[in-house]
Amino acid sequence: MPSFVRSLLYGLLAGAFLAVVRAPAGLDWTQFHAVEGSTAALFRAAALAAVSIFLGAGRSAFRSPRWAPGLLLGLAVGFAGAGLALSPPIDLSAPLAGRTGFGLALLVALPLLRWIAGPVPAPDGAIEGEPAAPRERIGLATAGAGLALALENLAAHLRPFGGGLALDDTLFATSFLLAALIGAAAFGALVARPALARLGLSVGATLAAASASWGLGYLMGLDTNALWLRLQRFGLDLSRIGSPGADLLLGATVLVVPGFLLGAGIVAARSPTRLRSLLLGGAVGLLLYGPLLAALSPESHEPSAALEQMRHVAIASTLLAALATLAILLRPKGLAGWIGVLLAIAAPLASSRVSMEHYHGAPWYDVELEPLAVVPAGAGTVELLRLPSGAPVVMLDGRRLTPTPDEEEFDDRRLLTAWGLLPEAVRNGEGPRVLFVGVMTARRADLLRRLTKRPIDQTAPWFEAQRALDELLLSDEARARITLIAPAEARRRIASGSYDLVLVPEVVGPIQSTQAANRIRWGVTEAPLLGSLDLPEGTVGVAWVRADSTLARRRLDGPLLLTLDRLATLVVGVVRGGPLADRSDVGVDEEPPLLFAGDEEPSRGDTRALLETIPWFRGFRLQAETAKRIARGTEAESPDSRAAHTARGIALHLAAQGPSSPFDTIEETVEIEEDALREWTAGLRKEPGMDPLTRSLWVDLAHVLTKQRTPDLVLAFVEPVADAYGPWPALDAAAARAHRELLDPDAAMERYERALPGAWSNLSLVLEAAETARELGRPERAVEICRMALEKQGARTELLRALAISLHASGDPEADGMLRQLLEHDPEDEEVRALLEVGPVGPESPTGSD
Amino acid sequence: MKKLLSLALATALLGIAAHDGQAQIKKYTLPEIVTEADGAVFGQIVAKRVFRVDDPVDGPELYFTTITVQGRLLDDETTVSMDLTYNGGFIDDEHGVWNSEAPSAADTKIGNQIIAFFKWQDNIGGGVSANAIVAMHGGLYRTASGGSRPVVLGRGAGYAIERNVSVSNLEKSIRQVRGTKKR
Repeated sequence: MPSFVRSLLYGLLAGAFLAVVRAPAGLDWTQFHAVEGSTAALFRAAALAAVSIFLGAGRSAFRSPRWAPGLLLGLAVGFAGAGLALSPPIDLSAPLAGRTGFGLALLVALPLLRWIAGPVPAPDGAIEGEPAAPRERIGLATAGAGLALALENLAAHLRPFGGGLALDDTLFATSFLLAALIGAAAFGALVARPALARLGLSVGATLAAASASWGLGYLMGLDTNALWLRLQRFGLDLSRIGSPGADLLLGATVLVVPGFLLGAGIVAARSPTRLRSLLLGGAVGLLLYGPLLAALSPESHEPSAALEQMRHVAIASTLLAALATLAILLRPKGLAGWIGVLLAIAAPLASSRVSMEHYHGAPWYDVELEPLAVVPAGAGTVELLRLPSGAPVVMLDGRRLTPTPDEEEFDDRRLLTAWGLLPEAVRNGEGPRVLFVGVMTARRADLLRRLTKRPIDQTAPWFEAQRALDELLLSDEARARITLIAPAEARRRIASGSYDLVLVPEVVGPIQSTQAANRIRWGVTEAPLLGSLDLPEGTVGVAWVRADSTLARRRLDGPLLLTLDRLATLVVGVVRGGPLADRSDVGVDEEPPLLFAGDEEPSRGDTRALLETIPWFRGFRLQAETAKRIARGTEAESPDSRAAHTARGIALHLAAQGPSSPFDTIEETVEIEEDALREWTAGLRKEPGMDPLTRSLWVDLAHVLTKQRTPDLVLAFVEPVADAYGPWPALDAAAARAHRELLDPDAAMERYERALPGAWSNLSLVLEAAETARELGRPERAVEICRMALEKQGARTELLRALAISLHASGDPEADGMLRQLLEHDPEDEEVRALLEVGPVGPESPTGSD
Repeated sequence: MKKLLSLALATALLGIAAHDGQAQIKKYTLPEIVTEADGAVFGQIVAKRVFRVDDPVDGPELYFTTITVQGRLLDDETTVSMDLTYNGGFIDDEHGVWNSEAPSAADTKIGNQIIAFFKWQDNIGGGVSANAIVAMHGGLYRTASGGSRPVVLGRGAGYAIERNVSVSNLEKSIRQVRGTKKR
């Protein structure tokens, strides 16, 4: 086989190996949504070292003078091909990406690489260009470490500009490899001289490290406007962040110069042995990134301090590479040598001049988001951002870790649903021993405190940043009951059966620009690998994963929980361990969670179609895929059960969802699919009693249909359920409102009377009921309703107003004084003014024209 | 796609600038809209399509939505099948423009029963001639019927139909206005 073809094949296999073999999220419970920095570094360092082993001068693959372009071409194609093809549409990444998979991949790849590289020829003297001095090899390794640190520093802040998928990382890296290939091809002729062999690669690596620092400075200087202008020049806009075009553009912008320099350096090196030293050093550099971050960690978590830390890492990495180069060039020979020395001195100076003045939170969003705190960690950069609404959220590399204020009730629901899985004996008494893996918000801490009297353990893959987050988000009192432990300790305690419940909340994708700043949308995210999440007997684990993620393309076995937030967002709870609460052995007032099943066969979706979809549209497609698989799996597991009908209904419902106008209200964005409602209705009949998901489905449905003003659907679907399972205030209220819409106050009043006993604290319900009573010519009943509500809710202005109007309608003289007081309080109240002018009357005229 | 951004941003800004996030369409009372309109149709939406126009005067990438309504005119009960057109819409996931003043997707779903006030316009933009919905979403109202009589869902203060009203009563009101106008 020709040498060039061998080098190309070597590159292909090495590239594919590097793309596929990485530590995925989901390795274990403590690394479910993200991987600890040290774990990720170990995988990548080991992979880099593995592909470097057989790079040696004299091997058949590297005898051709064009081995460098061949290798780089193969690397770029192999990496891109494998990264884009195997992640996530085909779940071959599952066996390959875990610890066992890594070992298997090595067993397969190493012999193949060895065979492609060819045998080492029998030694017959020094090989031309082969670095002999250990100093040079050590120097190159050190330069490689410096370059790896610089690139890792840049990559950490480039990653959030992607769309939240592994595909984005692949595209960023591909842009770097392509730049290296172009650098090798374009500048190879210039630098392929014997005089440059000794210094070319180390100088190239040093300059690449310095230019990576400048790339970082460029990225951190991008505000929303600057980013938009950059994208617009290539026919893109902010909504395309996360698309292949934007990934390649941004990747190329910051990585093209480092890539060129490295590519040229590889050609200048002439010998692949030099490259091997560089790459082995690079592997060490990857391992050093986390400790370097920790060593340079500032006291403050202000964004400006994080910027300083980035600068210091950039300078340190460039300095390391530069010192290594100077060590190699201890006695410079000729002009090239002296130029090399000068460049090595200039590089760290150039790095130190990089300006990073202002930390822009999520510049791809339409408005500037204020970062309140930034804490770089090995698992990624943790930010506490303030949304336009004022609410703070925690982000990891652009993905959201905490709920927004309007999601908090659903976050509670998930926590409670998981807790409902525990056997009664565990839930009662002192309560369960809990490990929480993630960011503890004040609300989560409060709810857990109510569920268990025991101290709560907390851990997170971004452990280094978690203590700072807890101090920012929690009161001293809340922190007192939470023990923050390192992931390794948490794993040890899990294995020893120290917990009854392990909880992992879901992660949401990155914030998306949708050309309308009055609604925030969140993108998709990479789902974790659902590998062996074994737990000892007596421990139940629930990890929540958004369905609008690549979950559809994962193995999805085992019992599952579901929540469907506001009929729009499906979140799946992966359940492991046991024993679980026995559904047949619960009290009449309890509502044990419904369990579902996935099917093991991942969906083989079309990667290209997914990539071509505008990023914020992808969630609809992925969510529908996930729901369909769960429907299939549940039907197979328990045919014609409540769970099967519910899952099928959810699948039908989510298949109908799609992008909506930014001017629609939240409720208007929900598409109603009547077949889904029929499935949910059928599911109700299959089992007695309720469960949390079914209850929430019907409450949310009643709310959405009311807000969408579809009274016919309310009466067709919601009212019968209210009749069968009532009194159910939320559903009775929806039915009442539907009857009012249809100008039938008699029927509406019947429903209000059913709803009121369980809903005296519901202000709008009470006011509507009183108004309807007046419409029916029953002002005395309206007065009774208002008085009862005042007892329950206290002297609220709206209730006093309704009482005054009702008293006026009933001809009660007490009304006059109350109305005057109300008018004094609010002189703009035209309705009250009109009543005072009219004087005491009989029944009020109807609300409708009829 | 560039146009999509600029157009969508423009309309988005319109929406944001409007009071309560609602579009700033012209306010009408019922008599005013009846006087302004050529007629009012009550019927079912049976078709909906979006089309694009590239106009040398008004510019490229103008999107319009046409809904086909089968029903009757409220003025004189004539059975009709008519097309009504408004600005905005998407021809696929990526090409189109949202318009904060247009009737919502929920209101113009195929199968909906609606009341719409329309007026012929020689040019609603891009040289397009059509029966346009008067006052955009302010001229289109969904109806619902859970029992015997269909009810028009009013849109609140400032709209031609503020409160819910039966279709039959609305019809009477419209004829009254027309009758007054003729005098």
